Amino acid sequence: MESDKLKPNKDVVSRRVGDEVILVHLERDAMYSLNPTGARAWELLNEGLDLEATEAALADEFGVDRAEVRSELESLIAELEHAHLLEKV
Amino acid sequence: MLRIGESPSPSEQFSPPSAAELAELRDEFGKRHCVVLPGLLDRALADELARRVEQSDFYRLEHKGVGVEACMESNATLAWLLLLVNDKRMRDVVESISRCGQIGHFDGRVYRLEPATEHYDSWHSDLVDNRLVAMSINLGTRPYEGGALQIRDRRTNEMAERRNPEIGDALLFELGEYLEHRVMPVVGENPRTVFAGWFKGGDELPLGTTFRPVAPSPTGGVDATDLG
Repeated sequence: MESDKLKPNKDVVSRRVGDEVILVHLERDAMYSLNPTGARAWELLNEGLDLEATEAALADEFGVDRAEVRSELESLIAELEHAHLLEKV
Repeated sequence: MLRIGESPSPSEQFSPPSAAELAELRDEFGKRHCVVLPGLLDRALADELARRVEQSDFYRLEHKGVGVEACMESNATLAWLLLLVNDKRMRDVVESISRCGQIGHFDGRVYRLEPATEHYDSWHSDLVDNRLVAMSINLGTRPYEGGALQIRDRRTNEMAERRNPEIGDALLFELGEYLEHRVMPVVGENPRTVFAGWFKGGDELPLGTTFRPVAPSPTGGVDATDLG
């Protein structure tokens, strides 16, 4: 897994609503929802954690094997980057 | 001071009122059915939102027998506004000020009343669709004249009048069986542009049915909705 840090695109605003995080891309006029695990991953990355630390925190908080988290996290980040929601620092 | 800001950090997104401020707001709301929340939106945030509103498209909207306005098309700016006021901490403060019971979510629109046009508003209650409390936030880039909110008790004809003169200022007002409100005509040269809507009971629907994205996927994926 890459160890690069990621940060939200500057044109993206987000808020936790219940157990989801809603993202709005202001320039692309699009809105996204992240389910509880995706929402937590977004928050951890927002706090400045790198991928490895985010993976460890998610595995701990959700009681899931790290390999499983790694796979989920990689696909989530690919989706977030594809949608221009996250970018490498 | 009650304030909503924009920050990636949840703790910096919302500043609650002090206990004394909250007690004062609750007292004023109880007496007048309405309170002004000065600077509810942080000034930099309000300026940015107002700039985006200015660039948005509006369409004519008639509320039969009540009023005519220019309403902003659904877009990302509206989604952002809905996110900001649907913060659970904001809903808790409104519940505390108004004693309205449990709020599920806020739903609203951006609209504009232009001076010297067909735009008008007349007495109405808004008491439909599980609405509990109403709120209007000034998003005008220039000060408006006239355009005060009036709220009256139909039983006693007792009336209060309030304005939210500065960008980012909010008016929070009560809805009730015997209460009606209206916005007075806007005069002068500048329109009155506000983000307005209602805190509603029922489910926690973050962006209202109009803006609700597709259901979240079971595994943490991203679901998208085009707002255009």
